[in-house]
Amino acid sequence: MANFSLRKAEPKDVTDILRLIKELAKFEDMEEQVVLTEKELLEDGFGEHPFYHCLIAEVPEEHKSSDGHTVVGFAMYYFTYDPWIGKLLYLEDFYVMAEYRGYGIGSHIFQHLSETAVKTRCSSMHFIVAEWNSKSIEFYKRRGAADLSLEEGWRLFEIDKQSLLKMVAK
Amino acid sequence: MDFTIHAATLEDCKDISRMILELAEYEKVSDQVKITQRDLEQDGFSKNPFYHGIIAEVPEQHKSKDGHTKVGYSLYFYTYSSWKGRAVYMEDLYVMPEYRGKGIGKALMSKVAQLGLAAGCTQLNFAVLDWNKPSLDFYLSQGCFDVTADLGYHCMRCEGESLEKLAQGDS
Repeated sequence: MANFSLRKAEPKDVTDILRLIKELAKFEDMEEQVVLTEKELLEDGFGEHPFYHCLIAEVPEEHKSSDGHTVVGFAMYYFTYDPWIGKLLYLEDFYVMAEYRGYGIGSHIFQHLSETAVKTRCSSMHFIVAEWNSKSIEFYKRRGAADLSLEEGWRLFEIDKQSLLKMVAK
Repeated sequence: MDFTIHAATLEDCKDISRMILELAEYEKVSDQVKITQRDLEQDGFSKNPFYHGIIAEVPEQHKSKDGHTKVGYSLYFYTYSSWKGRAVYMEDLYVMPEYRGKGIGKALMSKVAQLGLAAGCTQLNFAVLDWNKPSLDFYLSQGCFDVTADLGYHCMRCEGESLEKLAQGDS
């Protein structure tokens, strides 16, 4: 099966996007962390100032998945800013359904994202990877990615809503 | 000491640029700063800004020895968590050395948190270098958690030649 196409996500894709987000989260053992809804995905991705952009990988009807899906992969990204070098492309999620791997879909998605980054004059593409995910780390390293946590000592921090509310109440 | 915090305007880009360079000079990496005042103006104040800024300012009578009243800033932008939705990322937080210890840093961070919550964000993210123990300790005491240490997520980057090669499909 070599036939697949990449396209920009449309509002009708939010059901598939959420399905794939949950599949990826399950793979990372974080499924219960996903509280995002289709309604939020719709508002936040397709309004006047979208918070994210999405690329969809689709196969023709005759190659649909065992559960009947033609949307088989996606990438969610947005633009960020480094005050030293300017615009960056941040890859939030990147996933291809298990039964569609090994056909170059992931490579094509990643290449497309890199083209987008270069076209929009981003200096770099950033993303995070779980340190136990050796297959993905290999995929990225083969394509020239550097591990900033290891090489430069960067640690990602998070403050959740409860702590934010405490902070602003002080 | 009295200080106020306001949303950055086009006119503030001169001081933001100055403070970005100050921070880079202090870290001995000022040659890595490629962004100019003009870039900051275009990237922050066009129809679709790539970042937002807030400035901490002191009254004229407390201006710095070089005559500046704008003494701290934070650069932030909105991101998206595929698990939880809208989030805010604090990219830079800086207060000039002679104005530290007066709560300006905390106030700037609190303002970013306020703005984030108002925009419907459920988390604030930022990065800290592992050798920066005072900052690590401060943030952990504020209820933050270290995503890298606790969940094992590493920050990755594809840039320069690797990015160009990828785009051309050379890998």
